[in-house]
Amino acid sequence: MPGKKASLFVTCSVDQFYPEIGEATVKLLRHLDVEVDFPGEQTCCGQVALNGGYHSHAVAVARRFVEVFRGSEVIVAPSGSCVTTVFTHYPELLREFPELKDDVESLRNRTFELSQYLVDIMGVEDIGSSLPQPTRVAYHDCCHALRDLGVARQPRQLLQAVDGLELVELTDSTNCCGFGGTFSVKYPEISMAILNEKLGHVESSGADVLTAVDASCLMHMGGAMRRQSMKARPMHIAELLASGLPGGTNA
Amino acid sequence: MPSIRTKEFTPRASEAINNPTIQESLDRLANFRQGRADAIAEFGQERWDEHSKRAREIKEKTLDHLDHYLDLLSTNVERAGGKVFFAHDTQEANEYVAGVARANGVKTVIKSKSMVSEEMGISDYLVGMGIEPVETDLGEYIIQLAKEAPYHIIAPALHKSKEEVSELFQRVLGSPAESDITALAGIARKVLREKFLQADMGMTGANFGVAETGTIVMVTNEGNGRMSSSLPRVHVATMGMERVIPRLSDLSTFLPLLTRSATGQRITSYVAFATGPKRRNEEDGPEEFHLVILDNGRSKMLADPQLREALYCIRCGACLNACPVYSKVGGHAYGWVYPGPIGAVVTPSILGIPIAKDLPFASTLCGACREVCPINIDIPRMLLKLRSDATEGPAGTKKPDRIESMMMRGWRMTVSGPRMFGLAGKIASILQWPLSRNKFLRRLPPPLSGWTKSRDFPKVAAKPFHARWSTMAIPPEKGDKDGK
Amino acid sequence: MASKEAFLATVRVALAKGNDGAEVTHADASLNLADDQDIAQKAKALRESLAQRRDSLLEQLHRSALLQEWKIVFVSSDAEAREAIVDIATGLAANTVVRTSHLAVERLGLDEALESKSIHSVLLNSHNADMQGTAAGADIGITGMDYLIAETASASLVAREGAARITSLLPPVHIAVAQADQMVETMEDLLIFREAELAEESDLNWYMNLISGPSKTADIEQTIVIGVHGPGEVHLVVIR
Repeated sequence: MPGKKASLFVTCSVDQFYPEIGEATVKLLRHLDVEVDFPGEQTCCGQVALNGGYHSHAVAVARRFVEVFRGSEVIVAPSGSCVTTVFTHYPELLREFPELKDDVESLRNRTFELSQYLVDIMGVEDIGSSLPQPTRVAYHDCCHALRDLGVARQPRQLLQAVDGLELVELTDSTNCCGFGGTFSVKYPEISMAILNEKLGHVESSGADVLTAVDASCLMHMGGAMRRQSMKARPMHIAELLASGLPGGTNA
Repeated sequence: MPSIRTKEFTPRASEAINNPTIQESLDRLANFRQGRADAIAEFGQERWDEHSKRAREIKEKTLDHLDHYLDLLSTNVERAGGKVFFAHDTQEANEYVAGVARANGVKTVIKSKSMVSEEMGISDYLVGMGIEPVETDLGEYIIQLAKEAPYHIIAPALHKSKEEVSELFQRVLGSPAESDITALAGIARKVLREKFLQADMGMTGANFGVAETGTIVMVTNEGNGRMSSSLPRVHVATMGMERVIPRLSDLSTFLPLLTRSATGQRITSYVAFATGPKRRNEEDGPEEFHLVILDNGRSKMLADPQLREALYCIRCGACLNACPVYSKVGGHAYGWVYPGPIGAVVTPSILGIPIAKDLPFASTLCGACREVCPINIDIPRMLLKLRSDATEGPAGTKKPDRIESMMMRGWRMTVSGPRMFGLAGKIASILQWPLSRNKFLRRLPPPLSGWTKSRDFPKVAAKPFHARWSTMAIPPEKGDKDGK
Repeated sequence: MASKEAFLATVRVALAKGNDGAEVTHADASLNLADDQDIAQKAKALRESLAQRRDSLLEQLHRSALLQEWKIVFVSSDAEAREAIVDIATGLAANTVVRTSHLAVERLGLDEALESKSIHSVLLNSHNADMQGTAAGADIGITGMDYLIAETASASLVAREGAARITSLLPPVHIAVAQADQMVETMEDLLIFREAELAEESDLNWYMNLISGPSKTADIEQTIVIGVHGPGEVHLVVIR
């Protein structure tokens, strides 16, 4: 069966800020009998540079990514936006390297966001996770996962199957959270104005946990949720799903 | 050209965010969004997608042969007795319109809403000649009285409350205070009806120019477009050169996309098709018809394969309504004629990046604009291209930030391999120590200070994933089971 | 000042650059009416298909007309149409109506019927000393229509001899009169007929309006106001 072997692309932000999300991802995949490897040369997909307008830097990092993951059968990342960088932007970014064209085309079609991989490729319906106590969970649709990758049904399906988890729909769940990478730093006031509307919906949903497929959006939303001492806590979907597996949150 | 205030994006955005009346107005964009969704559902999603696809094909092919279609359009307008003027820039366009007005001894011009005429700044130009230009679309009329720029492509006075409109009418027109919106519209109707009947020249835009028949098409709800093209002795229409479509039947593709995307209407109350001036056996209509076709930087976009797509735009405004940024900062922050996501592409393309550098960065790249665009224009892709031009583009184009470029070079070195990456993490985890509280940072130095003003920032992990992998490389139980 | 040739030359240079050197020669034939040999055939087939669907189209028109805020009335004879129009005019206490000379209007004998109710009926044309003033001063404008689109409740009207542009524009009330056999289903249908007509006529000089309800605006607080510059009350009289 294809996809029983997967290379983890952990992403730079998870690597440096949220290594637990990486561990949870490995735990989930192994629980489902996927043989996971971790190409140690990996660093970043280049999204930071692409987003900031540093095209040449993004090109160099993208080339590196292609080299590092060329030998991988399937690449799985706990991030919709990093996968989008590969899926949507690599063909254009690496247009000037015709020798890489076939590699890029093939690579973009075997790089998956975690929930997309589990549901669409592995055919998983229920990972067999069970939360120790009833938890109300709101799912936020991260923009790139939603609009570039079509990830919307997959994470909801996985969440709904978890015992003890009640999935609630956020009002305007598909509206952006206001992160936008460099945007959140260049235009903090606008970013916060957008975010506050989102947090209002989180609040009124009564959720205990706000989850999403992107650590970076959660960093933004969670950073303000902490500052505002909100009841809901942010949690990446990999961690949330893995927390209900035997053996707790650690792989 | 109208005033350019693109460099004031941040302060004007801030003004809007902190103005409750404006935020209330912007919240009403939800009506547009809902109207659009309902209108598409009624039309049928599959049929909608077919129309979108067809519209894009027509736009692609038309622009690929733009010289041919402009030639055809102008030939057919002239055949119908009209005059066509091709203007490289707004100065030429204004001078031509002024010449027509002068030759006809025009005193009053009635105008129907047109973004190109805003781009030209023709109203100020006419005032300078002692001619009175009167905007007749209710929203445009309101902002003309308030001496402001349009706030939204299809709802120019979106930001004004009825109280503000009443106050404005009292101040400028001397009308009594009025809290009823129908009565406010009635005041404008009365004033403008007289202007309509006394004007010597009417100016309109053109939503489409049909090459094969030499017809310009005006899509309106109020009837002012019909008035402007029927009552005065002279009719001058202005259009961007990209608005040409090959044939009449193409409108059955474009019109439903335009009106349903814009206001959620099946169709507008009026669609007027004007072909040249009044013909011999007609009872009424203008004696003269002029069509001004404007380039003003559009050929630069045509010449750039990555920006050409922006010329497919039919100005429905759906991307503004869907945009999380526009929905907070409103139209004036964008500082020129075209606001919102499409404005963030068009404005720097026309005015140049050094003047409008902030705009392409003022987006979260969420893709909502692309999702609602009836022509499937990939606005986020073009914003990325313009960002790249702003930082790394050819000299004279770029306008990079020095500290930021330095940081980016540092980042590039960091991600050049796992050793540097690990080392950078270590250094950061040491540097962050004095700033941290628990697992979070509450205050960072510029340029990250904007983040921590209202958000905590996570600390760099003491042990990054790279380091953790070595202890988890072999799965504790599953390793044997898989036979490895 | 830019000449057409200089302008088009700029466009050609931009095209060559933007097309990455790919050759651009003649426009795509599929986009040109002149190359569309089938248009007359298409129009003929469409006409037959529409005739067969007339009843369902009239039902569709009825539904969409209400949504588009027309006041629609179906009548089965000229006499009934005349009666309906006189009722509307007397109901509004009209003093003056202006009308076009469309056949559908002419043969109703409206002038006598209206005058008998002391309503002055004027055929609006260039022989009027003050056309615009007369139209603006009238209470109602009555016009025939060329086509009716069922899907959007749109009525098309080409300005011509005896059919001034302003008859349906300046009075506060518009009464549009049409025959059931002028029904089409969609905008696409209407434009196929127009193109077929244009392919035969050499005179391209025309002004057409597609009217789909009352004049309206939502420019203040997105609140809809009916009748801002054009007629705020519109009636559609369809003769079966």
